[in-house]
Amino acid sequence: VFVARGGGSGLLPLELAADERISLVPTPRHASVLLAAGRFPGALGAALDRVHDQLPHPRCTVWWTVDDDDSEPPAALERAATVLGDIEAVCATVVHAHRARVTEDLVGDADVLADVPPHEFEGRGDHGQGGEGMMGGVPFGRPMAMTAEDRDGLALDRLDVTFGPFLWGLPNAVRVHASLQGGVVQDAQLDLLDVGDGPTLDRLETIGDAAAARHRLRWLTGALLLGGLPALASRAARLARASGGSADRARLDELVRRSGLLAAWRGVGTIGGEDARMRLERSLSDPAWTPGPATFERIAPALVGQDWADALVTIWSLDLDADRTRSDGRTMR
Amino acid sequence: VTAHADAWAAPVLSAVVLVMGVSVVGVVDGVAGRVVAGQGVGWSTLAVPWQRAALALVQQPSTTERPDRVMWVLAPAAYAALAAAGLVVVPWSSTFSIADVRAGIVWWGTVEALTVVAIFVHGWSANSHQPLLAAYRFVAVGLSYLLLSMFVLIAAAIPAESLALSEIVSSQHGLWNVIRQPLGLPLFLVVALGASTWGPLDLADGADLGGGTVAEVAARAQLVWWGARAAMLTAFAAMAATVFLGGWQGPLLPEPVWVVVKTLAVLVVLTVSRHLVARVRAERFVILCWLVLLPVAFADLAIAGVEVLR
Repeated sequence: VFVARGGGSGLLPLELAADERISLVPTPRHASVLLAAGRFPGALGAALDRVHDQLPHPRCTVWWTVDDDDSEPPAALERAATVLGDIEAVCATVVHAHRARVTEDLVGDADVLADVPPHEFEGRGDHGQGGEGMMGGVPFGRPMAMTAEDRDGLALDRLDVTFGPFLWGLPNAVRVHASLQGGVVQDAQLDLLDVGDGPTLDRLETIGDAAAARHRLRWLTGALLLGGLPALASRAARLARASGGSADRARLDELVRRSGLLAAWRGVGTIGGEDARMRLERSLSDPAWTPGPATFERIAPALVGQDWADALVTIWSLDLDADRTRSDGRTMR
Repeated sequence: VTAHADAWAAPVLSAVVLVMGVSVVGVVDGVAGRVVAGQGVGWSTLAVPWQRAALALVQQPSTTERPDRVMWVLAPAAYAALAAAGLVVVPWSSTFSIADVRAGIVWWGTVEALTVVAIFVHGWSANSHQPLLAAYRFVAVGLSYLLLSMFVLIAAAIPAESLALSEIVSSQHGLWNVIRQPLGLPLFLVVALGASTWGPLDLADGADLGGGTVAEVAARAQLVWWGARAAMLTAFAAMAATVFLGGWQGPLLPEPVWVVVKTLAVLVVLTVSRHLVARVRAERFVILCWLVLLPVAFADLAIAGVEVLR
């Protein structure tokens, strides 16, 4: 299952990792089911349409929404199996859709977009791609690498890449426009897409320490997936879903501490004197801990000079959320 | 070694061994994942890898805009072929190995070095950003860990006074290299994880780059790539059993059984690491390789040399 988190989804969809019948994958190419959670207005819907067409046939789409959401769905969701309700219902719908459409009928959703380049070919320059020599330019609207000025005595190619809005490790509805040299971020801009207005998927949850602890476990699930530990992520998601006993929680903490993830995150994403390791450590030692509100103006500069993987860890460690951000009245730009 | 497979039988034999190894990796990976996740393990767990494989076979192959199609197909094939090429020099008993290569350890070193090319080309040929970034990240790391292998393999060849793997196994009579050269096996396992881009060293196919070199690969091609990685893991396990765990040597059981048992033991350790150890940071791992592991590998070589002179 490839999960696309839209407006109002929060981290709730990560609890799918708890279901032993379901395997979450980091790219739509590996999925047979696209699970769209929440609202997808405007540019977010357009991005969802593009992701939809990248799933291999036979494929199917499940839309997880709430009954009083009256927003206009994008094309990818017009024929989707719609599911309202809690995570158990969602898992059952996903498994049923996969069995019925993918493994029995072998008939999948048709493409929703024409198979054409997203932009016109911009033909100029020596080889028609708009750059210099054989480099640079933006053929079909996609920037090519171009030699930049010296860094550490090397004139490395500079590549402009847009990540998101559904990449693992990014908050819902966030895109990152990054200039990379050899994988190192030279310049970054965070872009928050419109997520519309409406209720959230977790609105029925009680608020308080128990909800905060569940949220922390969902966040930990994402952190473990990002750290290459899918089995431990599944364990964390199960705890989030079932609010398991303290013995289970202690075992999870022990396994996470032994995995070396804390060491791997040391010195990554230091903002306000606190790095990703400290955020992870506090999440383990205090189940109801919530990171302080991140000042979004400080995120983009903090990514500069980091390897892209570290930049992603930085962003995830701050536990950002598109809906919360909007209601806080701040932009991430 | 006195007997070898015929020219036609060698590819068939190595393919059979690798398919068995890949199956073991699939099953052990599935079972270990369930145990670490705290879920129950039953007979149905054993079926999961086969169900996944069956699904991949009926899925539609993916494509991107203007990929290098030839290279995109050749890279997984080359990677799997390298695993087979490495495996053929492993002696299965005191009298049999699949291929007759006198300088087997040099041959193996060549195989290791070429894995970097196969993995890089796999990421590069998709003509997509995330696979490309993953491919470059892998090359940066690959150059760092491959040097370790060179030192530990030469160290293992010194007491044997030969580059032939059968001589290296014979030299471990009474004292395996894992005891005689205790630094060797851990370093070799680091190389194994790196060259198979597995577990803590899964830097080419990591989820932090949307699946890395495999981010644009679906269906059969994804299955083939995964299988090639598991095959490489198998080849490394067989080589670790040969060079460090005394190969065919052991009491009571027939010689080939000992090779299989030792290979399986190493294979299980390598496979399970994926569920217990977090992925390393590329930058920090490169620093660790050059500043710590490389001097340790050199110490391993120096100790082996002093041992022989003594």
